[in-house]
Amino acid sequence: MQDPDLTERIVPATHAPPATTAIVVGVPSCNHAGTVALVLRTAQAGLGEFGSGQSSLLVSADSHSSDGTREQVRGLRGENPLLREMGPADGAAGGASPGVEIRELRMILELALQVRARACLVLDASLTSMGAGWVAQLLRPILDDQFDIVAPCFARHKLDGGISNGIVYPLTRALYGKRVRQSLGSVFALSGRLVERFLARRVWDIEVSALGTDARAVTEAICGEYAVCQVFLGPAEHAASGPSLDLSSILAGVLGSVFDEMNRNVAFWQKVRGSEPVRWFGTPVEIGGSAPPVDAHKMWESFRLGCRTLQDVWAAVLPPATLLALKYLARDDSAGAGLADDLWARIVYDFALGYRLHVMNRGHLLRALTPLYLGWLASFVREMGAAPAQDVERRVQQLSMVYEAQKPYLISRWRWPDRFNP
Amino acid sequence: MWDQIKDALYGATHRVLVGVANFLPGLLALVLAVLLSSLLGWLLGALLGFILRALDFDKRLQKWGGVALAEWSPKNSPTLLLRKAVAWTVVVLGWLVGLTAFGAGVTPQLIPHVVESLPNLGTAIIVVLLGVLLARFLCRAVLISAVNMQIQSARLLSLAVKWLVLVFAAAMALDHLRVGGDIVRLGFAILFGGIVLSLALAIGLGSKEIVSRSWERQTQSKPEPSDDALKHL
Repeated sequence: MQDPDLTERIVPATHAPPATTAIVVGVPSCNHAGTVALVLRTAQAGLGEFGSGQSSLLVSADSHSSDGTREQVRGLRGENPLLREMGPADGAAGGASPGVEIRELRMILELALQVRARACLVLDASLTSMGAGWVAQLLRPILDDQFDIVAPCFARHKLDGGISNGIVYPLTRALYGKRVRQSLGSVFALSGRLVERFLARRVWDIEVSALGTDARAVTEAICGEYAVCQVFLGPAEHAASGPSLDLSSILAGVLGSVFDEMNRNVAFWQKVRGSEPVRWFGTPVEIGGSAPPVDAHKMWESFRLGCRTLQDVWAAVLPPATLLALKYLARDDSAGAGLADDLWARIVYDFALGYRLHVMNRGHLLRALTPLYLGWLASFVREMGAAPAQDVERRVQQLSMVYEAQKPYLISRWRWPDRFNP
Repeated sequence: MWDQIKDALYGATHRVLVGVANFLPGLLALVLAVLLSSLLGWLLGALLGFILRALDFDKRLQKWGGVALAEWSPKNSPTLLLRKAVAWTVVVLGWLVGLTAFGAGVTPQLIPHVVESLPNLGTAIIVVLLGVLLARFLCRAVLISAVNMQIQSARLLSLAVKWLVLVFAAAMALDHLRVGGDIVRLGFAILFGGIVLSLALAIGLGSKEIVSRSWERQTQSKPEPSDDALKHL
């Protein structure tokens, strides 16, 4: 079950872990010199505060950093001799590449399996706002309530998380029938048996993109009928490491993972009807400060530019009626009417089908969705800009119900893609 | 006098008729060869199309990852592409047979020349095909990226890239076939150099401030200021 290539690369620990360790807290990193020490220290403090009386192991996995991240981790060994460092034995550094954190994640899971951990918490090395209490909040549902995966729900400004609100949450909910509000949290906790399943199913062997790794974990847990729950946490602030990704790359990375999971779990989601709530732990956290200003007009202009120039590309994916509706919408120079929910849901479903059928290069296909996403976001911002946060949440739930209502359209097109679709 | 005129007329008529009699069978043979080869090409193409459709070739190819071939094919159908390729090969062979029958003096030299240049022709066709595939891929990539960067002239930019690659591929193919000689090379160099020069002038004169600001940011490793404060994830 263990990947021999990975085991060979593990640096021998100065202090060998006990044969069984109840909790493994892993921090996969890649060029996070500025934040990795903070995350490891906070995790260590969190483990201390948690004080469950169970043995624990703090692991930093890194094989590609070239900015001194590993030196930072080594510096922490003085403070915490039990900190384990995983990476290539020769210490050779490589360039950062997409999916690199997936490799580090696999190293951590391998170790969790090796020490027969009851729970494995994976933290994001770029976090700057992590609280020590997060460790207990994320681990308790597994250790005390026998859940298998804990997804975070970070506090955020009402219009933030457009990809999550407009695509990932409604799509995941409609497909798999579980209302996991933020599956793109980049932080999650797994039970020992789920770790075993992930490694056995080689969930992360397809190294598509580090983005969406978390969504993949949640989806696999749901499809394996493991117990899923979510926990309210404070705001998640991330420090930029290296050049920041543009919107189309983020969209392509996330949707690539989500659509891959759709292809892997067809038999499961085609049987699911409706959705059910997932248990919450903790209390919602209010985010302080005013929401950042958003230029909806600029987003709508991007959508209109896409409508003028990308019709040929979209025609390979979208049916004529959708193209006509988009053309009609693009005549409006303000997002007055906006993208209707059912139209938006069908567009996302058509792109998922296009991805499955490989109608064109998949990178091109996913990037071609960007102007459409901006069109939807502009409509959403126009509609909800002045509304209170509760109304925004209600609106997201309403959109999700439309996704559920449109699911027969997806199933029909998925089963008979050649059937005439006006 | 009259007899001499009569002889001259008879002689001319005789020569014309002999010429026509010599020419007509060759012409008829050419026409017949072209007609028959067209018919045969159409039949073979139809038969191949029927077999490939029965095998669901287009979908199988898509599953095997032959998306690029499908994209390049007329009406996105590799079956149609193969059908047309077979039909036109037979028609071209028919023309060669017809030409051989038509002029014994010309075509015996033509056939070995055609056979000799077949490998070069094949390479040139492959170069053109690869050029077309690359041009289509780059055209779409540039179009989508430019739209996502909100460049208003995205279509123009993508067409420029497409034609640049196509012209480059065509110049390579012609050079390989030794058609046009230095004219093709010079023409391409002038065209390519002109485009690069005009781009350099446009950037140098028209957008020097943008370029210098961008360069400054690159060298100082400062992140580009974002006017969109929204977090998408």
